[in-house]
Amino acid sequence: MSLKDRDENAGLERRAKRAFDASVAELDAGTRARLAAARRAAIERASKPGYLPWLFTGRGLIPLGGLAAALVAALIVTQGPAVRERSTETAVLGDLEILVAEEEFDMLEDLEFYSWLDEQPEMESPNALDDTIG
Amino acid sequence: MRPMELTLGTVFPDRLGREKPLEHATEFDRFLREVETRAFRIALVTIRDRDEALDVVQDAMIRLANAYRRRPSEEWRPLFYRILQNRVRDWHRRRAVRARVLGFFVRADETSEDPLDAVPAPSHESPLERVAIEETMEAVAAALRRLPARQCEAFMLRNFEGLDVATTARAMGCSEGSVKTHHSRAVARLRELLGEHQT
Repeated sequence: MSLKDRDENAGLERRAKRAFDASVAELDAGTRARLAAARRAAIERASKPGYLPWLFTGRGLIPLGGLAAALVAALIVTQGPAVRERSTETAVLGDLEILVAEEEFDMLEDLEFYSWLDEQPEMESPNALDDTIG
Repeated sequence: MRPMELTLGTVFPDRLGREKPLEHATEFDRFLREVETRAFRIALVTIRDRDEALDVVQDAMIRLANAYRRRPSEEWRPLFYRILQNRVRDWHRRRAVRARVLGFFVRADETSEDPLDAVPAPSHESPLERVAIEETMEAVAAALRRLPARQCEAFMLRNFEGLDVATTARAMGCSEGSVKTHHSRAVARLRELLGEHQT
């Protein structure tokens, strides 16, 4: 890389960084307030011992993607052959896996933990346990 | 939403009920304060919707707080940006899937965008300053959106967030060599794309 290229690259990076920093600095008070509320909500939710991350999304209690997927699946099944025969059926069903994949993963992860927790007759001193979860 | 103040009584119980001291809690809060606006702007580059970007950032904060707040604080930054990048990628993937699924039932011309979404939020900058900043940033963001995802990520983490190569590699889940390659290709392509735009 020539010296000129190096200089031009550095100049571009400087200008892009300046534009980004300015856009952060000019962020309006409303957005800042919403971000602060989001931060407090994250800390508050995580500080609750019974927190189930797969139940919460940024917008609500139940993952909307999973809900939408369930609705679509129900529609496909109940709409009968006319719908099922469409050429996109396979693609849509395949998409459903994508919509629900992450929630399922998190859910299973936590279900395993809560299942284990339920099996414990009585919690000993917490400090006696290894720090292997979380 | 009721705000949670970090007071002397604030603790971070883990899944087994153990508690972390206040010092760790305030440090974690400080970290999130430090990254939240920048993370929002980074998410906004490709998501292009303020509400959606806010949701994605909040989701990343919740995930970090729930799963990794008890990790050493020097690990938070790469972990947070890794989660954020994953959430942004998931958002794009889900949006594409939803569009296909909705297209299965709804005609495209039945959907419309709310014109109020285009109204800028209030700002303390003068309207002219704000427009200039937005225009410049939008030119950079538009160029970034034309890059391959990994190049875009490498550039934003290295340039916008100022992460070093090693931390960027941890955030992206790849080798330091890959980060250098993605970043240098991103810079070269951005030079082409932004050549005519005075940033």
